[in-house]
Amino acid sequence: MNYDSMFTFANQFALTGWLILLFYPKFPKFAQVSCGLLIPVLLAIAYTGLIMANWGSGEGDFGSLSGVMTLFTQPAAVLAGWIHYLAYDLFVGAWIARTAMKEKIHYLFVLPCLPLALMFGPAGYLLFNAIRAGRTGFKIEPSS
Amino acid sequence: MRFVLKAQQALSREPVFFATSVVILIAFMLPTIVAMQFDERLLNGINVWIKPLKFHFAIAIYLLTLSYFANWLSDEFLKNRAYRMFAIIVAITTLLELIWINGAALYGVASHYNRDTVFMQVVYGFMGIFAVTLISSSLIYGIQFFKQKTKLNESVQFAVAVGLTSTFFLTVVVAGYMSSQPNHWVGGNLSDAESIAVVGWATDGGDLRVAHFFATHALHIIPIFGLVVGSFLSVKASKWFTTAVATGFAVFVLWTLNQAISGISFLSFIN
Repeated sequence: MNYDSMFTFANQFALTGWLILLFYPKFPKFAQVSCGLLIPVLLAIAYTGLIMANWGSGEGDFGSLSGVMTLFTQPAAVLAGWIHYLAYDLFVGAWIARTAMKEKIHYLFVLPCLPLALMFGPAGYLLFNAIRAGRTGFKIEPSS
Repeated sequence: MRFVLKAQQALSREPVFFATSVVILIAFMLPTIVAMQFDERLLNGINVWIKPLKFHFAIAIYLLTLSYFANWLSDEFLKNRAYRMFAIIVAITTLLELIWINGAALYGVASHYNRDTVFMQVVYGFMGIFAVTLISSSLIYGIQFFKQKTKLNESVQFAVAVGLTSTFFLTVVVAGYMSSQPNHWVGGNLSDAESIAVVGWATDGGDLRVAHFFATHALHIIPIFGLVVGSFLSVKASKWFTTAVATGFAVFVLWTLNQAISGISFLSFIN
């Protein structure tokens, strides 16, 4: 397998997850198992394998911005980093949907958070927690 | 799903060994399969990840086999504090062993037989101690199968006991000899590229790993013999038969070791 086909495959795989998440209230159990566990775990396997395959072959480090930039000049590192986004964003998306249901937040409020979490991960997480804070007046429980 | 649950029930009598195997299969083996698709580095003529993969698979089978056998051991033994401690030590040494093998592959260097640097040489020494620790679990289990009164058919129980102890003694002898050598080949082109499918043994010279393979699999092979003969022979006769088979098997293992030492490929009569 080459990096390009892996990229396409991982993208489509994660997008399938987001599509399932959109219809979370229809089948919460299935959505939770697939988006909160299975798809992120499979992406994590791909990520770990990519890191293992390219260990020691590249330059750069995590210590400075320029080091990270050097690291991300290599396709394997960028692909791994991308899969990292895909896995974590979806995981957070599933958490948002689950928490909304648990705390009886109307799904209409979740709907803008999800695309935001997909495109700009932390921004979606931020918006959702802002909505939670708006409802409960800062008495929000820590994430679980 | 039902099959998975049944398998889990049968294989998780020793929870620490079961958990260790699951961790190996999910966190070690699956990413390694991915890494193998993308990594083009070779070691001894083959992909660097083939060796770690073989170890993940083999060790998971080993631990799951012990956990399966534990179904017939008493709660008293399995819940004993000293034994619980021992099981945890076995799990830790196993994981350290795999971290070492994976770590070496990460850098594209050899794990076993790597005496290139003082560090790797020291680590290799420790790994020898860890390997004996992890294989000693088959001896501990073997002794229990000799001692305890289990619900197994007596002739099968005897074969399990003999199989487990054979695994320990044969492996220690064979692997002990192997570790005193510079590498696992004798003669041949010192490469794993041309080899017997799946197991990967050399076809153009001796390969010491053949004897290790059979030695360690005594805990599967001898109990299966016991299961078969125990079904139609009397207990006394089948115990005799199992003893004879185990002796023959030990001779076979030593023969494969001698064959490799002489520089002859395992399946030389075919090739």
